[in-house]
Amino acid sequence: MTFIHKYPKAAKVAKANFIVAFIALAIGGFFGFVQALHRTNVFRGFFNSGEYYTLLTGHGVLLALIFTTFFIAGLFVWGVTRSLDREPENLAYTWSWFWLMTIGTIMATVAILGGLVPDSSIRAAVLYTFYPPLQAHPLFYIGLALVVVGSWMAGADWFWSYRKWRGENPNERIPILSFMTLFTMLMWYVCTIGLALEVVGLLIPWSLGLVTEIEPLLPRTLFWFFGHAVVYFWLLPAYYVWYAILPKLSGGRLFSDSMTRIVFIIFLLLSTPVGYHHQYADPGISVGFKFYAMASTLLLLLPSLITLFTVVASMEHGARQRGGKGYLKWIGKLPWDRPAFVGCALAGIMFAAGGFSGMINASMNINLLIHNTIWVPGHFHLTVGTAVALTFMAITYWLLPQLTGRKLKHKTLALIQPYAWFLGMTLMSNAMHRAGLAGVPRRTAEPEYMGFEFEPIFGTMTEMKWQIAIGGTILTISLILFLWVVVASWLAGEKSDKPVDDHIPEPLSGVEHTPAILDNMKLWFTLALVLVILAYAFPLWEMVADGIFSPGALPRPS
Amino acid sequence: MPDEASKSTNSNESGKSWEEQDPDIVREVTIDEYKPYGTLTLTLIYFAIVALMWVFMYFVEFAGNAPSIIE
Repeated sequence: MTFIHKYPKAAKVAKANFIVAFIALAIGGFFGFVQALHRTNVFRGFFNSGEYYTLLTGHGVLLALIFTTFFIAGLFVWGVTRSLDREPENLAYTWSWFWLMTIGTIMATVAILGGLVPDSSIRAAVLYTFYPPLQAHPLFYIGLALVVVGSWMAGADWFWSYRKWRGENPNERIPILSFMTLFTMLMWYVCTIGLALEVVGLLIPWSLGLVTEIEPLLPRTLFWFFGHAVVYFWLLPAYYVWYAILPKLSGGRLFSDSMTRIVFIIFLLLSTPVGYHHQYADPGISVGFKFYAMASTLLLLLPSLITLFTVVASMEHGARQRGGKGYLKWIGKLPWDRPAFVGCALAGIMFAAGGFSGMINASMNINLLIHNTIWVPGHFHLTVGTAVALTFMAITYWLLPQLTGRKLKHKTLALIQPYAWFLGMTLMSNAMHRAGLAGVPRRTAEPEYMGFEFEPIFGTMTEMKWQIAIGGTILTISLILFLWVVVASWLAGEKSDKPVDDHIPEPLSGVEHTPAILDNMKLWFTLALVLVILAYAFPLWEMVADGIFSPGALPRPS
Repeated sequence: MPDEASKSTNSNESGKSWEEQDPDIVREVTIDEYKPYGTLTLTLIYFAIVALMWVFMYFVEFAGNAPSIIE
């Protein structure tokens, strides 16, 4: 017996979410491959340089917003169902949020791909941040709004299950898988307030022509109200995997239940009031508020360092149970021949490197050194592009058999895949970081550094160019391997009652040692709102007072 | 209270702990006997790398380039 046999309805919902996620991954990944070759001038025959920005938008939106959101929805359906031991409360409701998100995705994708059709009036080359004055077709904004509304409904679905469960289990602690889901969704509710106000209040009326001008700083600020917390909306599900599942894949147990809960609470509190650290170069926001955001951002290193300790200690526990000894020799006893473990572990190593470049981004003075350079995509290809994406791919090798009742096929290819991703990303990302230090801009179809003397600080432009192109190609091969293994296993894997060992052991230090206050959702949610109000109320009021639809200050969108 | 793990389909089928059922596990390490020295070592190595990278940043930001003067 595995998940699909016990909870067939939830398994179907989770699988539907995974299908959309993997289609988005395939299309968005292909766009990334084209960009890597185009930018570096290795091959520009796929599309022209004008269309590059359409591809860039597609790459960002389909991977960072669509792949992640649908995968997370599937993962959380699995976790809530399993940990509360109940199918979704009302399937018509559950499918309604899935279809709402899917319809929204189709609308936004059509708007983006319209940019590749000559003379099309439907286009959305506004990049993932969609700042005015770049304007997309209304279909793009309305589609994204539907995706967000669908994700709110999905969250409500899990809270609904939790309330029902709580009614039947008034004295029990929230099971850890559900705890992580509910706190991630609480954070999502806080941060998407900014996005909803931006898209519904400003961008949709503007794209429909109902208003002609909007205050330019306001949509940027509302975007980053959402835009940094969304990073944690991607990352916390990866943490969910590292805390709940990775210890078992390592052969051990989660080190501490209470550490896990504390980390999720800190992320709920601090994820949103840090958005200004993306706007260090924006005029119109006082340095004091930027400083407040910097301090909060650096505080966020705390839960990440707690995670470093807890997850590594859990893996070490596994290695020692498998016979590992010594200060470092135990690492060799970890199951480096199992794809799900290898992917999660390599993703964690990449995240440690991304943590360093994140500290640079967060620091107000040094940020200006790399602001808007290719360093920034170099950073987030380590975090969302590897820590999150590689974890999601790796855990699919463990989840898919539970959702389909079929064993994984092509295990050797599945094992090569995470190693290939790691290699490709090492090449691509280190070159992007170094190129950024040399001032090479991001979001540029044809950065030109030939025909004149230009010496970067570290390495040469030619070497960096080839590392990006070759790294991007290896990443694409890795992605194809992943999709091949998934499709083959899904359609033709051997049917089995127990296709994978799906047991999750209890933590070493269990919930009996965890203070009850950590489960008080009302308290932490209220505190999160207070911190957001402190960070955002006054600056937003200033911008609104400036005139929402009649900007008094330049630069104005026109 | 039992974790959700206890609801997993294959737990404690024979009254044995999970570790006893897994053939790859040599011995069960309890929380009292577990000393995460390896984690401490890796954490110190990470902090050393971060410190070195900060030193490198100094050269990049201040010592690697001539001052920028906008005229």
